[in-house]
Amino acid sequence: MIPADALRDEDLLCYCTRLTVGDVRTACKANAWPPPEADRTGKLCTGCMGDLQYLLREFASDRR
Amino acid sequence: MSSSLSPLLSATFWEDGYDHLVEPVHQRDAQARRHLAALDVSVFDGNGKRLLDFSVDPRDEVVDLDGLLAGPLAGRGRVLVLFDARYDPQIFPYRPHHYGYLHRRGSPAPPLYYAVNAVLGGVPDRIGATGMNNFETYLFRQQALPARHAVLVANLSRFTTAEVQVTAYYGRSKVLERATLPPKLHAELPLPAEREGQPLERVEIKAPFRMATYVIGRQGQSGDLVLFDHLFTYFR
Repeated sequence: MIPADALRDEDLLCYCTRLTVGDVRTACKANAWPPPEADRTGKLCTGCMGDLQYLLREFASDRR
Repeated sequence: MSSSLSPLLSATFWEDGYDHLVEPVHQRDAQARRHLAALDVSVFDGNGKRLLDFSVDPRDEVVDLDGLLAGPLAGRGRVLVLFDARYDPQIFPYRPHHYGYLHRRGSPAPPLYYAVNAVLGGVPDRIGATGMNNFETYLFRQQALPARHAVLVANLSRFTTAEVQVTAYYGRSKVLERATLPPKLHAELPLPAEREGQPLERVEIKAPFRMATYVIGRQGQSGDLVLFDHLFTYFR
């Protein structure tokens, strides 16, 4: 489990598509990942790929 | 910081005893289209512990890294320094970089000029570049510098540990090293100068996502840096 203070919705996750942690959380909550404008998140510079996969797992487990 | 501006996260390493300057914007254009809007700096020790956070005035032409860090970090050893920059989106598709100057104070070795390794961002969706950014390589000169070489690797993620594979090539043989890097940790992995009589020719770094990576060379006796250069994305 991620400590609450380490997961801020305003934090930028993908520096290429400018997606924030909150955007990922909202999309997962709505069962709508990826949003249409964010389907290449993690695939461009690849620097956020690890964190993106981590968050998708965490937010999916929140929904269970 | 605003997420509506185009962001770029770059990384370098600071060690005590070096003049270390960073030029945030290397190429200013007359119309100021290539506009740096904000620049935040974060510093992490070898265990990934955050030591410092501060902002730099984006109008500053040069950031004196040693002047900012030498006082608070005296005796700390090498630290990872992150530059979190926000640009006017018009700056792209030119990919901005920060540039560095590095010189051991009092050393007869020449100063080193280098491009600060841009790790996150700089590949906006509209450009559509899909190179393999997590597989990088570096070719050594045939007449190698008389130096001890190594790679510096840092994991800039927030939550994810990375398994990093470093392969050094010597003619037909190779040496494989692996490192496990939790978020914000960095490691220096030595590269033997030769193997079975063959000199070090190249090194490759493979990771599940893009790392901050540099090849360094240290002079035999003094340990002064005589090479500090980031690796390059490998394209077939």
